[in-house]
Formats: sequence, C-alpha cells, structure tokens
Amino acid sequence: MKRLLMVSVLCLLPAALAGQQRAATDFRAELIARGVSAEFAGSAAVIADSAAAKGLPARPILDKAVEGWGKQVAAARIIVTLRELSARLERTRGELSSSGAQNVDGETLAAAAQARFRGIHADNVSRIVAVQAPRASVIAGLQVAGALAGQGLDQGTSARLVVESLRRGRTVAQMLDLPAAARALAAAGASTTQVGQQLLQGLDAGVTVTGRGQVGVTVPPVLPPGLPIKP
Amino acid sequence: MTEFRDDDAGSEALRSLAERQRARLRGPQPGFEDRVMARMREARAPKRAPLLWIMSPSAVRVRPVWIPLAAAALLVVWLAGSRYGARSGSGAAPAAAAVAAVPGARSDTVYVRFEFVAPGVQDVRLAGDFTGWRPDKVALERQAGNVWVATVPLAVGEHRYQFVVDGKWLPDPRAQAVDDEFGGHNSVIVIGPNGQVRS
Repeated sequence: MKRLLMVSVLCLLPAALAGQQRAATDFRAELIARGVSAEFAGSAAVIADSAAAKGLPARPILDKAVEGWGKQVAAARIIVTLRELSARLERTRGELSSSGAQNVDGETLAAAAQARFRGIHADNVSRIVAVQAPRASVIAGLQVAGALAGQGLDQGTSARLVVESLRRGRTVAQMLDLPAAARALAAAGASTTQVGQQLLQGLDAGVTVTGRGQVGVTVPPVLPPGLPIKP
Repeated sequence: MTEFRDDDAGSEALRSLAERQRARLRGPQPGFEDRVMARMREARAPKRAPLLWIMSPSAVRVRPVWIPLAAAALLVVWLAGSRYGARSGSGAAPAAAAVAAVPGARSDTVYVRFEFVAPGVQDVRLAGDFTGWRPDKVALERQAGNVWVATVPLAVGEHRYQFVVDGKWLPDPRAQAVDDEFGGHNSVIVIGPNGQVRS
C-alpha cells in the first residue's frame, strides 16, 4: 500500500506541477503574442501568475502590461504599475469581502477595482456589487459609475444612479447610455448637481433619459468603405 | 535407537523420552512467538536510499481496479490545471481579450468615428485597448480643415485610447481623460448599443 501511494504521488506530482506551471507559461506566451518582448513578458507574467495564484484576475494585469509596452513606457515603471494594480485588486476584494460580497468573479472584481480607482468609495462599490442583477449589468454599472464620476458628478450620486438603475431592471444598453445622457444634459447647461438630480428624477418617473441624437455622430448601419484597419 | 531395559533406569529413560515427545507435540514453549517477533523488530532492515529505490526494478502489485481510478485522478489534476490557466486569462484569444467589453454584449458592435484636429502634422494614429495599444493598427485619414478621421468598429462597453500624433501619445481633447498610471492620460469612451457615446 505504501509503495502504491508513493507511485501514485510520483505519477500525479508532475501533472499537478505542469498545471500550475502552464498558467505562467501561458501568460508569458500571450504577452509575447501581443507584441511584448520575451524578457519583459517573463517579468510581467510572474506578477500575473502571482495574482492568479491568489485568486485575483490576471487579465487586467496582462492588459496593463501590453498598454505600457505599447506606449514605450520604461519596463521598470510598468512593473511598478502592475504591482500596484495587483495590490489594488487584492485590496478591493478585501473591501468587498468585508461588506459581505464573497466569491466575486474576476471581471466584476476588476471593474470594482477600476471604479475605486476612479473615485467611487468602497461602500458605494459594495452597494453596486450587492444588487441582485445580472453580472453583465453589474459590471456595466461599475464602469458607468466611474464614468459619471469622471464627468464631474458626485461619486455618491453616480453610485446611487447605478444602484437604482440596476434595481429597476435597466438593461446594459440603458446603463451604458447614462454617461451620454449626463453629457447631453451638461451640454444643455445643467450643472453636475442638476445632471444627477435630473437623471435620478428620470429613474423615479420610470423614464430613461438618453443622449442619443444629442452627442456623438450618426452611426452608419454597415461597415463604411475604406475602413483603415489592417487585418 | 533407544534401548529399553526392565529396571528403574530403563523406566526413567522411557519417561524422559515420552516427555520429550509430548513436548514436541505441544509445540513451542510459551512466549516463543513473542521472543521471535521481538528479535525481528530489533533487527532493522537494511536502509536503501530513496533514489536507489526508485531506480531499482521492483514489482508493484496493483489491483486492477486502481488503474482506471488513477487514470481518472490524473485527468482531474490535468483538467484542474487547464481550468486554472483558463480562469487566469490564458485561454482567450489575445485580440478579443484586449477589448474590455461588457460580457453578454460582445456581439454588439458599434462603428465609432474618431476625429482629431491637428494642423501641421504628418501622421495621426489611434491606439487603445481595442488595438492592443498598438499604434500601427489604425491610421487616421486627413480630411479638409486638418481634421484627421477614422471609423472603427468597437464592441459595446468602455474603451480607452489615445491618439499618436507624429509618434507622440496624446489624449483626445474632446473626451474624458483618466490617469493611465504611467504618467499620462487615457481618453475614455463608453459605447452603448444605441451609438457612440463620449463620456
């Protein structure tokens, strides 16, 4: 029996180690495929792997590494940013956990960390995450809250708008239209306080204020000719 | 051969012989097994180095039922490793993963027209999460009035980008800017299915 156990361990150990090792290797390979140098990819993959080992999402770290590399930022500076990002993700998970939101998935956590970075307070981020709504809506809500705060709305008002929208069953499309509506109202002369009030009143009245037709440009229904995107 | 004599000595010899035979039939003396086992425990088996044990040929007796169970365990460990890697972000195609779109809405694509007014420049490009931050993917075309234009299909959701003007990275002056954590600012665009939204 003892021998059998030892044989089993010897057989299973390489497979287990290979599974662990593969993640780091894959991160490095992905970064290289996305145009990052092999040397820097190795350093960035270590941070992504470390985050993944803690149960944190590696995707934002990989994306940030690619962004920094694309902008030709010094590798040492990118590494510092990646470590800070990893720490922020862990901190946000702790905040969500202490507010009762356990087992938040990676994409939601990444959106929550981003909302925190954009000025939404921890308790408001937790309120958004705690709403019983489809995951895609919650993620969109976190993005929209950050966007509204970036437009100058009070972070509490931004979060309340999102929470109330989610509770009223607003769709992802309606959620994503909120920043446009806010911009349209601001363009019409409303202050940021008035923008928040009007959007909240719109929610209370059961109507959706949208910015369609007021901002941006007409969207062509088909791919326009001469689209300058290389295949 | 024992010689039997009909006297006291002969009787004594006969009794002694009978006693020995009875003792043989009774088996070993009491405590014999314990003494043997104690001796065996005292005598330590010769040690072999683990490496030698691995290298030396030895027969391992395995019940056939263990073979499929071991195979299943191996498969589970392997799949767990695969899922760990996939969950950590290694499974998605890099190009698709670079776009931070909203899950469930990725099939929605909106054509977004980017404009940048820049007199006296030779080259304007667009780089963002939707190009993997590579400035060689989207080149803007110069139009009248020094307006540089590109229309790009983007997934519904939030995107970040910058213009690269003659090699210099610049945020869109007409869009909301956020700290890019590298000492610069990214422009942010939130796209709803209804059309372009600049936030």
